[in-house]
Amino acid sequence: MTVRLFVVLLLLVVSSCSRSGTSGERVFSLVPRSSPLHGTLTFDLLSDPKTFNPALAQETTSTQVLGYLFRGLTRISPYDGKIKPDLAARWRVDTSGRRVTFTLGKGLRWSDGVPLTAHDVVFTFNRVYYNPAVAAAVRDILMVDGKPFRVRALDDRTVEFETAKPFAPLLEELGVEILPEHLLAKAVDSGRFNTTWSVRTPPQEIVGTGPFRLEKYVPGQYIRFSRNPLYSPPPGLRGPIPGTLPYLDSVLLRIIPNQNSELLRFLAGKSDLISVSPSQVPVLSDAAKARAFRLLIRGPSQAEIFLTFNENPRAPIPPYKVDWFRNRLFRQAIAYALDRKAMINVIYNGLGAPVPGPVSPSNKEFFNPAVTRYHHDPERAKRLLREAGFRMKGKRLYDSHGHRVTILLMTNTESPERISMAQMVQAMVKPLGIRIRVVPLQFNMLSTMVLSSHQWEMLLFGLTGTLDPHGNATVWRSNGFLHLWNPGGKGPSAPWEAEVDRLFDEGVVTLDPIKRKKIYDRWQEIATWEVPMVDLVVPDAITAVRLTLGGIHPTPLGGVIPHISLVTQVSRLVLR
Amino acid sequence: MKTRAGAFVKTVGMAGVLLLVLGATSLFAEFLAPYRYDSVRFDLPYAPAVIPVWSHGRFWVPILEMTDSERRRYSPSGKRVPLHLFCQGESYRMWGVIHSSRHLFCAEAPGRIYLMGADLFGRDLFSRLLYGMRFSFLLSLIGVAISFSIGTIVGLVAGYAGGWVDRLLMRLSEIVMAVPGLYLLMGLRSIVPFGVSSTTITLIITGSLSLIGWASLSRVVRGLVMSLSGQDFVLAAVASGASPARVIFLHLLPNMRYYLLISVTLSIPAFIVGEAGLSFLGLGLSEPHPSLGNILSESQSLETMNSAPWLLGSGILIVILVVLFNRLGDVLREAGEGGPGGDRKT
Repeated sequence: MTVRLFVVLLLLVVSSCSRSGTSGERVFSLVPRSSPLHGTLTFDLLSDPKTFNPALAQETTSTQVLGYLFRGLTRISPYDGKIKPDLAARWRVDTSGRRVTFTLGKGLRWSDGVPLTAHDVVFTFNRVYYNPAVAAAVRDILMVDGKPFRVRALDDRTVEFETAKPFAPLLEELGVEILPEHLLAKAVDSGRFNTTWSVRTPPQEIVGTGPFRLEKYVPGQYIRFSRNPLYSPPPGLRGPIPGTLPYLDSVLLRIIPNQNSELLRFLAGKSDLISVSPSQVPVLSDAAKARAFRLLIRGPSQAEIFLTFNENPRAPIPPYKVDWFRNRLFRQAIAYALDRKAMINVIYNGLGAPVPGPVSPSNKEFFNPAVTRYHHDPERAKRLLREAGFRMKGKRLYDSHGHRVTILLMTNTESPERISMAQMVQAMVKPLGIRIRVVPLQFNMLSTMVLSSHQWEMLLFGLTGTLDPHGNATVWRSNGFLHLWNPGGKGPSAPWEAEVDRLFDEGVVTLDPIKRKKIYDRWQEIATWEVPMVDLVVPDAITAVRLTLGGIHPTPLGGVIPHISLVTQVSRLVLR
Repeated sequence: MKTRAGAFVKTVGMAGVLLLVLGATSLFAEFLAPYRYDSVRFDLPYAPAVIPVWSHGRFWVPILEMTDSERRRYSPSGKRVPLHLFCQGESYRMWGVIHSSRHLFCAEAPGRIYLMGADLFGRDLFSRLLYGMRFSFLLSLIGVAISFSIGTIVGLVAGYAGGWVDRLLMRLSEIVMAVPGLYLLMGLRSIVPFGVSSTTITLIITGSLSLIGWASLSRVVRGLVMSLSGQDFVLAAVASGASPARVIFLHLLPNMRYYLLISVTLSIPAFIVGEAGLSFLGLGLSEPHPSLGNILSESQSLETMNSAPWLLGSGILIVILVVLFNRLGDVLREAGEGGPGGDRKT
């Protein structure tokens, strides 16, 4: 009886193995379309957008969706990070560096036919982004020294921005979406703006200037965009083939809240584009030919994954632990104990890069190659710990007061890769006698613990990087709201923190690019020497793109689509 | 001696023997496993099985080399190390007491023996399964012991006392049964602060599983007690002035022992699956400690199934254990019904 059962079980296993082995039974071939124009782009989103109001959008799904509908005065070139005109055709910076005059493009119209004027720009800033009643996430970055920009319309096509001090990243920040005054003024006046243009608003009421219009949204199922016939492309944007922009007729985004099903749908030819994590590469690379797609590996992404320590003296954790964390030698010892190469090989299949510091090496304009690098050096780590007064007894590490070094390391459950990384950290510091216990928590709970109750010891976390180093001010300035290791601090708690504060204050008002780079170089040197954040590794950004699409170019900074309106659909997919 | 062993095998069947072997194997996991459960090799993620080969009068372990880190492909490097028996390897403390570093078999340092392949951190799946199986056995045996003590006592008291005691206890058991088990477990687990040791978590999982498990048993025991209480030999014992304890322990319990034994074996799988479910959801034993559930949860993504299908072995092991315990229950029941003393009355 049992023997028979075993045989059945064995057969089951063998048959399931052999079936998964022959994955190439479906082969796609490409049939060229008569014209590459009027095509459709289809891909999947992991979650529903939360709002269609660009001023309120915070998470990436909403901002991604709204990117097709709205435009700002400027845009950033995905190739080199340079500022390019978008709604503004040109601009002039006056000699004081505090006043910038923008001239809007000719014949700009909202998708409902109403002309776009400088008054829309003034409305967007003065009445929406700077309106304290509006929950605009971008308000903080649109300020200098806590003072908003002064925005004035000089005539219908000219608008002037004046800042209290010279503001280096001004042109970059002015990529924020411009909103239509004729539709939203009433909502602002009546105080209902925070509930306007929600996901329940009928799609034709969402009016923008982007290449597409919202056509239909079915929550939990799909979002469909159709081309905006009134779209006028930014100056200088020209496609390789004749035809009005956008080339595509529609974009269809399906909402598939599971990465496994997203991958399977892509393999089945149901979507054209998928962003791939390195661990998915083995599944995809074998199927690339049969399923008619290519894998574009674009090099290290901008994201930053790091370990940080609770250096907050008021935190409800044992004070002797805060003393360890405030000790630079301890932090450096941890940094030297980590084998980043192993992390890349294990977690990212070798498709990743170590992060040397707060600025990614792919950000060539600002990266400082002279930062302190932490190579895997366990002996040095042990030496640093001895120097800091820690003692090994047997296989355990004790501090000078006789406390055993045990640490809780928190990370968020949503990311299996971070949990794996935390487990590797745990295994790598074990030879130092440090015992780490990994605690995965849900993101919301984790952020409450870190930012409000301060009840944490060590944290493994990630942040998306920004191109302009000033974007790091929220993390590095001692009063920044993401100053994780000592949040809500009353000013700098160490001389080096005071210097970082000073550097950020200086960097934002320095317009000379060479001087500015020097300032941020110094910051990177301090950051990597003091290591309040021990940088780990980042995965390569990888996208799988179906061969049916045209207008796809991997760019170092902006994914594989340099501009959505240049995408074409050159062929159709046929199951052979 | 031989005949006694034969009789034992006959009573418990092949399933019982296999379970005994598996149990004994996992009991000596530290010695039988070539590596500790948390012994990592970051250079060998998802390495396939490395089986010793016989040549020149001894076993050799080939050394693997990663040839394609992107797809995690390995090939033998041509080098090999001899396999040693009863050798000194990683040190351990057997059952937390005996300090030793002797293993049944091990390969020298650069070489690594993986009987069933490795997981993401290059940890030996075979070793982890042994440790994980022990955890499942221990947890289910302790859990069953607790839930059966509660269930039997409640059932006996309710059935024998009757009246309001019976009603109170049975309503209580109904309340417990009405609570959806998985959610209760998740709730109980979330009360515990994070960062507690794995021993505490084990105790909590066991305790919470037993808290759910006793109710259904107590109802059946109560029914059995009620039907037995009407029988002549119990009436006679009561009439001759036997104390309730004497009646319960000498007359009632022995007559249900087969039933109890069978339901013990049949409820062990519930504990094994319960633990696996909790660990699968990330609520059970936390890494790096292995349990069948958390090893299985590693294998749930498409890419893991593609690169390391052997991690599903823990799922197969769960199925095997459950089937074996069910089979053991069947065998015991058949033996109880047909064998000598199956219906013996005291």
